[in-house]
Parts: sequence; C-alpha cells; structure tokens
Amino acid sequence: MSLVSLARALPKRARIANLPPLDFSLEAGVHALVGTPDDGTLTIAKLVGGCEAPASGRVLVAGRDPARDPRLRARIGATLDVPCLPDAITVRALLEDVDLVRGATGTTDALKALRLEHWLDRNVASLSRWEKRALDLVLALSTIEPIAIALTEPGADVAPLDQQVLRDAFARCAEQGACVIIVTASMNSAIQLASTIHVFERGSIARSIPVDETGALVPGRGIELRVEVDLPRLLVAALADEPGVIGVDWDERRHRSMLSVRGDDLDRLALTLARAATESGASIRSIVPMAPHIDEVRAASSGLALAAYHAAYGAYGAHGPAPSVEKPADRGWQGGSRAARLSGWRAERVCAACSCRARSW
Amino acid sequence: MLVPRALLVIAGAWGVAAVAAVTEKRGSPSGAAGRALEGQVFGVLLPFVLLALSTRVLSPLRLDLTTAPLARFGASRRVVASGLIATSMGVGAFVAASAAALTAILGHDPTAPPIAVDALTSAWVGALAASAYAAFFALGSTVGAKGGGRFLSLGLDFVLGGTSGAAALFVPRAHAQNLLGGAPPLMLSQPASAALLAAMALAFGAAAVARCAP
Repeated sequence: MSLVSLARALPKRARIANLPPLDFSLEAGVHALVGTPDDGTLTIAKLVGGCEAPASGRVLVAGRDPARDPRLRARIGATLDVPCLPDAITVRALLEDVDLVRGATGTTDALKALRLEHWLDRNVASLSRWEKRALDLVLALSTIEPIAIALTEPGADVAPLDQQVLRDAFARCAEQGACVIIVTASMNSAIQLASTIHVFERGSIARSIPVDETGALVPGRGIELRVEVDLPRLLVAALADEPGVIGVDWDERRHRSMLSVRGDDLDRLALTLARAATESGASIRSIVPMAPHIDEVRAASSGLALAAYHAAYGAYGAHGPAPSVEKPADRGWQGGSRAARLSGWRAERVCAACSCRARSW
Repeated sequence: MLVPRALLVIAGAWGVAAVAAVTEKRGSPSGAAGRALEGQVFGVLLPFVLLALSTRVLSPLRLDLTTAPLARFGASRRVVASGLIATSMGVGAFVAASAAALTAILGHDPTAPPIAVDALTSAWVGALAASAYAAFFALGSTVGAKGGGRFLSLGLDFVLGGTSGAAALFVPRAHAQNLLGGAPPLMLSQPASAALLAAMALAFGAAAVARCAP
C-alpha cells in the first residue's frame, strides 16, 4: 500500500472552482508535484494534511484517513497557500501552543535551524504574509516522527530561507520513511528541492522523472544556462563556433548583459563557456541552470503522446497483424495525460475490416 | 480571543440595557424592570449581542474550520470545538447576567422584591438563557460554508419563540420569557423552563460538537 494515496478525492467546492478529482499515490521520498492551481494543486496539502475531508473519494495516509484521525494528523506536516496558524500574541507563544498540542518540543529548534530565532519575540500580527508562510513551513518541518509532509509552494511567496537547509530537512524526513510532497508550479523549485519530479495534470500524475534526468522532461531541448556577463557580444561571438553549444539566445535590448546558452551536456557546456570567456576576455558574473517552464514540459508531453498516438493509429486499420508500438524511450510515462489517455482509447478500438487490434502503450 | 470589537459589543449591550431600564422607569415606575427585561433586553438586545459574541469567539466560519489551526497539529476537532463553545457560553453568560442585573437595578421600583434578590434572579436567568443561546448559535454555525446557519438559529428563535405552541419549546426565547414572568409556552412551569434551558445548552452544545469531524 502506498504511503499517501488519493483515490478520486474531490475537494469541497471543487465543482464551483472546476477542479478535478485528485488521483495519485506516492511512496516515501521527496516528491515534487508540478502543476497549476487549475490542476487541483492547492487542495493537495489540505486533503493530505487532514485540514478538510474530501467531498467524495478517499484520502489515505499510511492507510488511515487524516481528516478523521487526530493522532495521524499530529504526524503530518502541511502548509497551505494561505497560512492557517493558531491565534497567539507572539511567535514564541504560538510555538509553545503547537508544542503543547503535539505533546513534544521541537518547534523552536526547527526555527533555529532555519536561522529565524530572532522572530521568537515578534508579534504574530506584525508578520507579513511571506513570514507567516515561512513560519508555517517551519511548523510543518518540525513534525515529530513524520509520516507525510505536504508543502504548498515552499519556494515561492515565502520569506527567504536557506535552500540547502530545506533540502537537508526534506532528505532527513524521507530517510525516516516520510513522504515529502512539494506542490509547486515552478520547475526550478522542483529541481532544487525534490528527488523525483511528477508532472501533475488535472488531478493525476502524467509523468514521473528522477531529478537527475530532468533533461528528459523536454527531449531535444538540452541543458540551458543563463549567463550574466560584462561583454556579452564578445562571448556570443566566441561561442558561435563551439561544437558543444546548440544555441545561444541574446536579447541586446531587453537584457543586455544576460544570455542563454544551450547544449547537450552540462559539464561540456560549462567547460565550453569557460573556454569562450577566457578567449574573448569577457568576465562571467553568474551562471544559473534554467529549468524548462511547465508549459514547455506539458507541450513536450503532449508531443510525445501524439507521436505515440500516430504510431498506433498508423497500425490501426492496416490489414494483417498489428505491429507493436513501443512506449517512448523517455522515462516515467504513466499514460496519465489527456493526450495519452485519448491515444490509448483510440488505439484500443478494433479494426472493422479485419478485427485486428492495434496495440498501444 | 476577545478583541476590542467584542469589548465594544459588551459595553454597548450594557449601555442599551441601562437606557432601556431608565426609559421604562421614567415612563411608568411600576414594573419598569420587568418590562425592560422582557421587552427590550431579552426580547431584542441579548439575542443579537449573543450572536455577535458567538461569532467573535467561534470566528465567522463554519465550526469545524474554526478548529483547523489547532486540529492540523493533532488536536481533536471535537475537543477544540468543546473549548470554544464553553468559552462562548461563559462569555455570553457573563454579559447577559450583568446586563440583566444592571436592568433590574436601574429599573427597580419599590413594589418589586428587594433590589439584591431582583438583580440576582435576573442575573441567573440571563446566564442560563445566554448559555442556551450560545449553544444554539454554535449548532447553527456548523451549517453553511461560513457558518451562516447561526443566522438561521436567530431567525428560528424569533419566529418559533414568539409563538406559544409546542415549537416554542425548542428555542431559548420562550423559556427566558417564562422565567422573567412572561407567558409560558404550553403552560410550562418556571422550573421546567429552567431545566429545559439547561438541557438545551447541553444538547445543542453536544450536537454542535458531534457535527465536527474527530
């Protein structure tokens, strides 16, 4: 049985907001669910954290319903898009209240681990929305013997936190056997914080990819580095003939000192950049790896599904035994995307002429 | 948490109760306290004041959502709801008792029982009625996305409590009026009305708690 399992779970007021039922299962580990609010991402932490019961369907964490089991809720950390904190005057009093409810201490240590101990004597009412979200995150991470941690956008709209400390905290929870779910619309956040990336589409996981194979998210796109440089024209000229570079984007008017360089291999691309910078005399100020945008990933997913569909459809209607259609080489397909589902349905139809059955992945 | 707005509501309740008592006494000193208590204070003022206080204590949300900030850390929603309802009943009882006692003192006339006895009697009737009202509004707050059912409770209290039939037995208004010397519902005795108010406080409170998930 999966650690966290949602089966056709429809949040309350989902029909008004046109949200889809949530349907996925996850094991222990650090998972990023990358999707938009229209896909139902903002309701995941509410349901997994037991903050509200589903209007229909089922939510199970370690085989139990978090909305009806207070002991289970004590072992689930969750952050919502709008922080839901107990009433208290100061941060210290709030943490003491949470410790009292949990029957254990640890929240103050979690605050200190993220170097936020100077907040202890602050008035809760004086905290900004960003700071409240960071405090909510601290409370989620301080969960005692966690079974699941569901975090809504931990990398956005939140006070600046040490990403390395966050990563370590997530990894520690996963090592203890917890399922850490990072719900985000940002592929960058997902790559930074998670070990497995799941492309989330209309309530289901469409693709799952380990974080070290993110290049497979958009096949052919390669690796992209955003480079800030003092003499971009010279660097572009030096990069033009480099075989390790697939493409260079430079918008002289809008971002004069920024350019994007794409290649197949991260190490090779970085070496090429270093060589070109040395030759051209340009000095590089920063290099940031750029993750593909979620729309790019979805477009690639749809393209791959469509290719699979055409391959299957090519066999459909042909007389004689249907050729087998292989699953795309890209990893992690679960056939969950709309296009994939559509192609699957079409390919299962029986040929009227000879009753042969075109197979699909 | 009682915020300044709630304190303003309490101060306002005391002020209106005092004005009602003084006005009745100026009009006709005989039975002024009784008229002010039955008419303005328990008839109109306290239901609205208790609704406002209940909304402040329980938050203007559905009851189970109000419990969410603590429930998400492992507290039982029912335990948190019980605490909130008990607080709402306590605050309501204090405000209603003090407002009723103030009315009895300011509207007191020589033909009435001794002022201390009158004030004390009005106070316990107010406390008991307020507890029943608080529980009734708490039950109402479990209905609707934002607990709008509490307004339904208030409406039912006005509509059913104004009758003298069997339906009046199920809302606090008729019993409070009976205890203050008004017309009893179904010719019920005053001790029976007091017992029913206490039973309502317990039953409505328990029903509100039961309607929250664990």
